[in-house]
Amino acid sequence: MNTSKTWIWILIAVVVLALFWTARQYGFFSRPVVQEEASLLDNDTIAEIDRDLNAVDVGNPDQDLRNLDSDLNRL
Amino acid sequence: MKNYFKYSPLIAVVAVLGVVLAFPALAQTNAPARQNAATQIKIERENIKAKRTELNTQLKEAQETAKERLKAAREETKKNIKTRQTEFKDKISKLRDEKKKQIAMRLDEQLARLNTQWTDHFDNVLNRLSEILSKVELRAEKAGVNGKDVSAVKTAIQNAKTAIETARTAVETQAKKTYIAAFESENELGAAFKSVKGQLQKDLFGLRDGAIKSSREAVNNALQALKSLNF
Repeated sequence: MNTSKTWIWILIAVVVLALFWTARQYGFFSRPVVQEEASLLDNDTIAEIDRDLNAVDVGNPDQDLRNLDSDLNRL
Repeated sequence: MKNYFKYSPLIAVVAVLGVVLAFPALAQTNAPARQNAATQIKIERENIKAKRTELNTQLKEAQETAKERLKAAREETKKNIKTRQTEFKDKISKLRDEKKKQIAMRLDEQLARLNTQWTDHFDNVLNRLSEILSKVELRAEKAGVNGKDVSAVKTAIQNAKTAIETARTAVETQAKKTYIAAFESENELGAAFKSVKGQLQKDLFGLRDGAIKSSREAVNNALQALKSLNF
């Protein structure tokens, strides 16, 4: 009885594997379009662009120009 | 009842086999649609990849062109001011005060250097803004592929490109400017240098607060338009 039970479990395992393989063959485990959209909804990238833009420093020439003043006042 | 338990594993196996046999037929029904979707995704990915390559090439070309334009503008200015520069040096050499001579020469060099340094900086800022705008453009492309209405983003991107181009021209114009003190006597020296320094200050701030900040604002507008898609 125990031997036949083991065979039955082996058979079930084979059947489950066959089911999985068939499903994979027909693309049931490939990412559907909805999931593809979700992967593109990557907020980090927009946040990164935002961070990049905020990090752009247009600069301030004031200090450089002020450095000329000591020489200018000596003329 | 005993028989029922005895044959239950067999019944289970038969049921599973039934499902296995029915499954391919069921899967077959949805297979073309899924394969089409997979092909579509592949095409979209390739399109986005192609767009990324295109944007990178455009970016590199635009930056190199801007660099060349700036270099050419400086070379042209160098040639044009040769006479004025010689006249200036002649006048300086005629000054009696040695210390003033040195200061005047140093100030002349510093004014020219500051203009070069800041036009280079603004050029780099514009390069960075172009890079960020390309990221926005690529992101908008992805949003478009996913069915979002990106017309407002595209308009904002175009406006930003125009703003950056206008700023590049303004930087080029600034690079062509010269700051040589005009004086007739030693007494006028200080005032002459103060005047050119004031002019340089006005021009650099004008460029920064005008075309450069406008470009930054235009890129930010494009980014905000992209953000509003909630993509």
